[in-house]
Amino acid sequence: MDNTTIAVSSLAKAFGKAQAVRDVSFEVVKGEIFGLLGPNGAGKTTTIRIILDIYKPDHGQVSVLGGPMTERKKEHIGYLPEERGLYKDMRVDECVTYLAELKGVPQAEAKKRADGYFERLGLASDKRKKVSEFSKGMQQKVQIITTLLHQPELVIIDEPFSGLDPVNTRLVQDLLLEEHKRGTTIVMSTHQMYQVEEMCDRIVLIDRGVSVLYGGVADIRHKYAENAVRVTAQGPLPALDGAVETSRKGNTHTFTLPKDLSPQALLAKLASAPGLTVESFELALPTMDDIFVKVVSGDGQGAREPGRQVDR
Amino acid sequence: MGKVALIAWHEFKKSVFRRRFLIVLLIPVLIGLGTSIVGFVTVSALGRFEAGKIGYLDPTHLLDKARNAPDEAFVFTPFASEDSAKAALVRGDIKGIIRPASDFASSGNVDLVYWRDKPDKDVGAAFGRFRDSALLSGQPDAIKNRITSDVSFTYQTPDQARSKNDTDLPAFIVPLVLTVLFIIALFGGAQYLMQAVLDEKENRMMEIVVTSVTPTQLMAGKVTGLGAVGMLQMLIWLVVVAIVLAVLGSRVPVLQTVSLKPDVVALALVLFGLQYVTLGACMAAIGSMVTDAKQGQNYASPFTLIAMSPLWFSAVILFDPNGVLAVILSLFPLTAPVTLILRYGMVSVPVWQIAVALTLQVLAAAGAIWLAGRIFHVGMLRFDKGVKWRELAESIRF
Repeated sequence: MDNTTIAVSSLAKAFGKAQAVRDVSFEVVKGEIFGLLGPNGAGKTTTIRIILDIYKPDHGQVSVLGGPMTERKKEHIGYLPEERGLYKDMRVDECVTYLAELKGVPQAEAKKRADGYFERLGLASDKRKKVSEFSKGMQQKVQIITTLLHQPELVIIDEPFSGLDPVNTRLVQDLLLEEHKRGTTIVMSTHQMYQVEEMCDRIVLIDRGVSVLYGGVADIRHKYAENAVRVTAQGPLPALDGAVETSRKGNTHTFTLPKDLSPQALLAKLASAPGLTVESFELALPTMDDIFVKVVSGDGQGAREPGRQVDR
Repeated sequence: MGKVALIAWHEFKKSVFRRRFLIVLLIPVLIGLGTSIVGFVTVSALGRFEAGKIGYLDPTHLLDKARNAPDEAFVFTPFASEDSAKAALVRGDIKGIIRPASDFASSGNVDLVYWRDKPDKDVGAAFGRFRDSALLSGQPDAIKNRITSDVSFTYQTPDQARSKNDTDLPAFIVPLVLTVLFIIALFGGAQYLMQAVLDEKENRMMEIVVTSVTPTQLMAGKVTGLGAVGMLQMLIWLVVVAIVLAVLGSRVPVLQTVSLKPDVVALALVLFGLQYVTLGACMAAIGSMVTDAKQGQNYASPFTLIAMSPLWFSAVILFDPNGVLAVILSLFPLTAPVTLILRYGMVSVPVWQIAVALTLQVLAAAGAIWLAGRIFHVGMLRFDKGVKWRELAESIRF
């Protein structure tokens, strides 16, 4: 595909006797926010490192920005690993400028852009301090800056919100969404499923080195949705034949419906019930959290088989 | 700016604009100055104690025409009798008494009698010169000077390119000082390079940096930058030595025979620069393999010992500068710089040996950087465990 930023096919990688990646395949479309998910030790980081040519795969193919990785392409990629750091004894502004220069940004331009980010993230008054004088959260923000400053086409970011308070989480999220609007392709590895629901267009879920779930977030949620609805209503509920209330919170009820009862039929019944005001009615889609647990614990639909893409 | 140059400049700035650099720079200067001052004060003090009046008995009147030279430390004073001389000795007016020995008539020997502190051993030579002045009294000054001056030899290489007088400081002094200064700069810088790689791992910067540059570029940049720091140290020390020689040369005659010849300095800088790169790359590779500095020191020791080995064998090299051991050590990359510079001060080293040594040095430096890049690639993400030797072999095939 011409608009494919990353194409990974049947990737495998072992370290000694440990098979870190067995069979991983997915594609990342240009300009999307792609979630790379999986439990600890699933092979996500190894997969990322193979994409970035830090490791060579034992088997499989990787294509980045239209072909094999080259040194030139690295200047168009921003990467923030999970285990990350900064030069502790350097001044923050010098550290950021230096890392940008390594990405091919001229020094003057790097300084100008860095100052813009420092202002944006509230670090301008502290930019001349040494990195070691920054708190963990402030260092996180600096790390985000170093990832984005050279205006990459592709950003790969592992746990971007780790260690950030809600205010800074929102700041970073806004930054990433701005990049997304600019057309930057973002690959995000995170355990924060609510972030996946909010931000990601498509995801791949890797478990024990195999890609077990792959596709659009909305599609996956619909696929894993049971015939269930969530209703918020004031007033007495009528008898709902076959519908089983699975949870209730205040006036919000969640019902699992039998196969012969569609959500539309239930809505019609509720709308015509005397004394009942329906305030909201929606399909009760499972959260990505629920789906993650279901798939990883082996209860998911579409059993895991090496090489099989469950959803596309 | 190319990425290697960028990394090199970053490492150079990081090292030079630091207090640590000044401390390392000043240590040899302070040691040298301190040693010189202590030595000067000691010699002066000893001289003050040891110089002074010496009495003598001259029953034969052979020394009637003897005269004390104005620049002599000892002043010889005649006494008419042994009793009066002893009384002066006890009073402290004189430090010793020279009197004819019991077998003076047959042997010409004299005895030196002293009270508490034995006068300096040079009193014998001084008394000899005092005696000679009596024997040579009445002779023209030119004859006196010819007889009393030491014989001086001049040594010259067959091609007459180099010569040395035996009154000059030994020819190996300047090369020896150069090699000692280099070894201080080399091991300080190489250790720092190993620590710099370890710091990169501890700072968790490796994974980010290698997505901007190749491991070989990173290694080349670090080695070049820190090599430049070492060369800067050497240059500063050489300038200081040149200034000291220029200032003190007029006051200390023997120093006038010492000079920093441009060809020796140029050869030293090129050889040492290349060895700096080779050893630095080895240290960087070790930093990639280990998880802490102590483990790194253990792995680094063999390289350190090999590089210093010409100094252990310096007596052999200086005694036989064209011998088999000297030639072998001149060609082996890790030992070539020190050996060649030591030999260069003594003999004309054949051009082919210098050419071969330089070629091997360049190849060793390039190979070391390449290998360091490979090892770095394997070890850079090993934060908690080091690289096994078996994995090193695989890294070369990577």
